[in-house]
Amino acid sequence: MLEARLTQGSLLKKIIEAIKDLVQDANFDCSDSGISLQAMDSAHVALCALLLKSDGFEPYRCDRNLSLGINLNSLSKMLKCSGNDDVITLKADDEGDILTMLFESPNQDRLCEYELKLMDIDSEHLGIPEQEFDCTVKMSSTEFARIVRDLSTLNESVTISATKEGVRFATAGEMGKGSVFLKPNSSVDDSSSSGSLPTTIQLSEPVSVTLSLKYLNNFTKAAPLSDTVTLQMTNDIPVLIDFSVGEIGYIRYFLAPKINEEE
Amino acid sequence: MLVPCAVRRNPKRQCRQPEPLLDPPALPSTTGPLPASVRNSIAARRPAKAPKPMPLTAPTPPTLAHATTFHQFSAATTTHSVQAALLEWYALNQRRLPWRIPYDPVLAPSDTKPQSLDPQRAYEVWVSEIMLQQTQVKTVIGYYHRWMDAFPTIQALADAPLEQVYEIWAGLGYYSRARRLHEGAQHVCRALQGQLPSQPDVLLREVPGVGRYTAGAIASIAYGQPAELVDGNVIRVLTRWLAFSGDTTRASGVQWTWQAAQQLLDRSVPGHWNQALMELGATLCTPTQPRCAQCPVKPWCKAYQQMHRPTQFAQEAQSSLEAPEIEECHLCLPLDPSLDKSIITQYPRKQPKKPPREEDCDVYIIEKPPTHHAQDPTYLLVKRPSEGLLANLWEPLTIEALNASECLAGQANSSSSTSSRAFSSIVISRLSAFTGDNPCFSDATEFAARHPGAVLVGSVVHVFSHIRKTYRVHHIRLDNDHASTQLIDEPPHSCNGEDDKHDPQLLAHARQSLDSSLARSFIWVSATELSTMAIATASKKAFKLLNDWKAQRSSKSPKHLARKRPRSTTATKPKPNATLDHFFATK
Repeated sequence: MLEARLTQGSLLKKIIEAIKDLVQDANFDCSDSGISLQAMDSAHVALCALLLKSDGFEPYRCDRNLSLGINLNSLSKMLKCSGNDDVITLKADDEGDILTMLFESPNQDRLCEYELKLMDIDSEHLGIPEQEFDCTVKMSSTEFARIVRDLSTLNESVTISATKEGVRFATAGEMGKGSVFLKPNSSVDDSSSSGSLPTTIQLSEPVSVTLSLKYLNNFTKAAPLSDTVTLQMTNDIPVLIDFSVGEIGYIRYFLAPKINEEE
Repeated sequence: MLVPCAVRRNPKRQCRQPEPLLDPPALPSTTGPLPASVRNSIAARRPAKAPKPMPLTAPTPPTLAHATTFHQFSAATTTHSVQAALLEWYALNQRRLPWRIPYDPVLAPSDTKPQSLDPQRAYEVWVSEIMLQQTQVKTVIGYYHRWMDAFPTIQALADAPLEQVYEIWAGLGYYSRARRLHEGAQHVCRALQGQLPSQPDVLLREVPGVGRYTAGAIASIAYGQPAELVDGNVIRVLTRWLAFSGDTTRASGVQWTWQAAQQLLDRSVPGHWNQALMELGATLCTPTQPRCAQCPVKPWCKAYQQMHRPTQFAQEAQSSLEAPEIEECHLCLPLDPSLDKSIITQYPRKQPKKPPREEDCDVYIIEKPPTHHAQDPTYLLVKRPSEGLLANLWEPLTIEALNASECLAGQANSSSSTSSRAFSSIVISRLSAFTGDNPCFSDATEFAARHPGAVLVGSVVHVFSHIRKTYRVHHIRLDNDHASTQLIDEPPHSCNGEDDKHDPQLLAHARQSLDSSLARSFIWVSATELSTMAIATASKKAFKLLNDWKAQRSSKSPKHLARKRPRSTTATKPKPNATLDHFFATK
């Protein structure tokens, strides 16, 4: 049996918004350590991994491992019925076929109970090798979202190249070319005055990867969850894009690179 | 886990119907392992027939005949109970606001003492009440503090320059409120020794900018005078309490509300009573979602009774007619039978708005070609009359259709509208009369004779709150170069020798409107000046229509048909995407 109470219920809303356009149905795996989800999009180009640690909930209780098959669109619709300040409690029985959600308004004068039917979903779990990436770029998530949105107007793919000097997002299309170059901001003090978050780059080797903007645009739906985003890249392997969800956990996206046709 | 048996038989029916939240018991549910074919499919979606929504209440009978006395609490004791209940609730639930003195039922009796006049308090109440008009409490609080810092007394306000007053007010909107406060303060300091009067009728009469509501508020809240007040909140509360379904926007309804407010006024604590009434309307008895469960007056509320105990309500309405010497109430309108509104929220009633009336007019955009004074072509704008719709605004020359039959005739026969050569010749001769020597048409008569006339560009519709107005837009170019005019303009449809058939009455009307417009004031402005000027939206629409029309015509001419082709073509074929299966192994 699962019982998980999330004081900041709006987080859950934002999380589901960040996944639902990528994945239609997914299993939420609940264990005593927390709730996790791993799912790929239908084309197997992107993978989304979500972790919400048990200590982010108060209280959290999960006696036996449970897998809750959920249609994310339906879940999103139900969550839209909750207020932004609501406390959300998730409940499910071990053998049950529903997920119960309680929405409590902050002053406790409104209680909603929604039951979502669960589904059986066949999902493949992928083993993701632990690896060191050649380059790690940490930047403002809104800046990232903006770059991706701006460049999407030109073409459907972007080449991200990182060197010590900075990171460049570049694309070219029918109407022309565009690129955005961000320099790393070494001094931390500057950031507070300028208001924008600094970009930091750690790299052992310059990298250059070409990625689908459509997918990146999808990932930026997670930007409201986190001020910063971390891009981890190595040539010719999937990139890892990481948004932390407060202290509670993270949403990570893996995206396979574009390949040259000759290969 | 659900076995989607229905789905397997008829997979097309998947995902069509929204499911009811609770499973019908007929659906089998198993917990055992499922066959693989089933596991791949999504859970059962059984098309379920949605139950018809039940009406929330029994159908309301059309208006019940009832006496005027029905809209009063039956006994004096009821009124007392209501007053006590509301004040008790207010004592516990009042919001603390900077301009309020909290209500304390223990101290309250001191309110009954003849109060020493406290003009400072009156000033504070006045400012807060003016600020609260059309503005939310939350917004007002900050402004109230800043105002009181800047103008702590009525004298300080009266001495301040209007600019400073506007500065403090900036952002609150409806700036005339600030101006009227300022004027009022100056008047009070000049004529009333800086003291706001304590009687509502004196306030109403003596202080500019104080209306009936504000007068009641100042008299009751600041001076403890037994004065009633009515605002939107009070109207809502009272019409619900007393189930008054008359139109509260009409004089009879307004009169009823003030009377009811006066009858219910708690004369021992009039200020607190008025504030409690408004507080109830603002917090519980809200327009769309009244929280009746928390309402202290629920036991006596007639609208609540009507909704929850309709039979009893009907009986009481009936029996109100049986008393001697009564008058039947003719103000109440039948309740709206639409079911999506609960009975309670149908109060207060308003007569449905009348559809806006239709009006037609002809707009003549008169364009003067560039001269040595002005680089760009300029357009004639005239000033609207200082009264009525869009008073004093600049607009292109506009001639109202004479009446409904005229505008119908105009639609039926395009050449009978004043869009004609006859009219443009009038315009030209009049303009030359007003502007004197204009190189553009030194010989007005000859110019007019050769002028191709006004061209009907099209029409735009603009909806004002009470008028739906159609503007037929015409274009007149005062161009010396007739050759070019003719080239660009197609032969104007009205320029076909039928002008003589014009109704002389129409032409006379046009000439008269033109003269009075030009006599008021007129200017020539360029397109750039026009874009920065404050002109009415309808005029903007007319100019936009003209510009679109011009653009469309110029794009028709072949020389503008440029062929488009990028100068260089770089192949930007989309690269294929790798899949994650290449990189990650299935567990």
